[in-house]
Amino acid sequence: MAFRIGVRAGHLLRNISVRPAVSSAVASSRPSASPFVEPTSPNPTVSLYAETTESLHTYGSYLVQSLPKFIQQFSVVKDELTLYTAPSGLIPVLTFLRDHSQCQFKALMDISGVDFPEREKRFEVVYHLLSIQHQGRIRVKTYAGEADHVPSACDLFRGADWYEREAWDLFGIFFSGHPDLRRILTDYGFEGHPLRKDFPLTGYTELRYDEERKRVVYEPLQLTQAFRNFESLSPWEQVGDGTTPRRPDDLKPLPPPKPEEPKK
Amino acid sequence: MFRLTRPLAQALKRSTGITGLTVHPNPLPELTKTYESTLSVLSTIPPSSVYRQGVEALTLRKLKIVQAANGDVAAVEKQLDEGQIEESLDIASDELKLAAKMVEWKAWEPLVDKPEPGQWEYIG
Repeated sequence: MAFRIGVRAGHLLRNISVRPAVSSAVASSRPSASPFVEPTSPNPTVSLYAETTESLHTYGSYLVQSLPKFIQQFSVVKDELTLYTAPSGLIPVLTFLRDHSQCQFKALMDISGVDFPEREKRFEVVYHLLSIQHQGRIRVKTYAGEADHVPSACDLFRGADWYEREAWDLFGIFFSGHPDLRRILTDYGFEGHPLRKDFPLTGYTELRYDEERKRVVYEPLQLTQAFRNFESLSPWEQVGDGTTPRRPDDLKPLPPPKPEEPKK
Repeated sequence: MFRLTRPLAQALKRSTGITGLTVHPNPLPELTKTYESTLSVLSTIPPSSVYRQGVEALTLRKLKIVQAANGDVAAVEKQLDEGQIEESLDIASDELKLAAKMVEWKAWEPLVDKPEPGQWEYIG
């Protein structure tokens, strides 16, 4: 992204410099030249990664042309290449990356999930692969809705087993064909998927040691501790209201929460 | 005398030094056979496919290297530049299996599942 912005900025700069000054009014509205003659600090996107970015673009377009049926698009940021595929094309893409002699991505390093609640297919599943033969890494992204399933990569990469259990546990992404899809990180009897954006930061339950029953008990969240009573006033002097973060115009708001069911 | 010891080097090789990768006693005929069957599988893919063009060119080049080496394993290893000859065997058999799967998937056809609008657009 930074690279693209840099390129776009470069184009703009070039346009400005070659365009002749039509009138003095236009010329005066132009920003003045920098008074500093020293070079600015090196921009790694241009100095360090330019060559890598270029060759990764070539490599990515080769992969897309080899598998036009399954790869939707690719992107390059600095030295990182990402392929985007539908869940139906995931297994072919991963198999290709593992077995093709120009890829040889034999190791699955991680599977991660991302939650975008405003999207129709709200989960993204990201596969991080490593090729020891060619000393490179690649990322494959696919998506899933709440009721959809993603084919399991366990038959291709044995190491995908626990990563998929983790994604299932924390996001509730269902992997079809997984040999043993259970929770892996949360406690026994835990309900919900903690890394979803609509999961509250404090959770739904709290636990304490019960002296009478001589064991740890779970109770609905009460927030009785004093330090949980946050107050927004700070004892220190503040510097101002800050700026409003950029928000795209077409960003859909979160779906409204469902009305709570009456409790007995 | 040095020429005589070269085939012996493969016969006397005790280990590849890589876990799970065993020494192959006679690798070059096996490698030739794998490359040739890859080429025959590739011939069933439409010639316009980029995958077929790429792999065909690569495999033909490797096949030429193996045939030109005249049984010299060390020379093949050096020119293929894929590590030891057993690793080359692994890569070749991977490619053969993949080619068969590509025929099964018909992977040269146009995109089947398009993403929904906004699926791959990010904030910032």
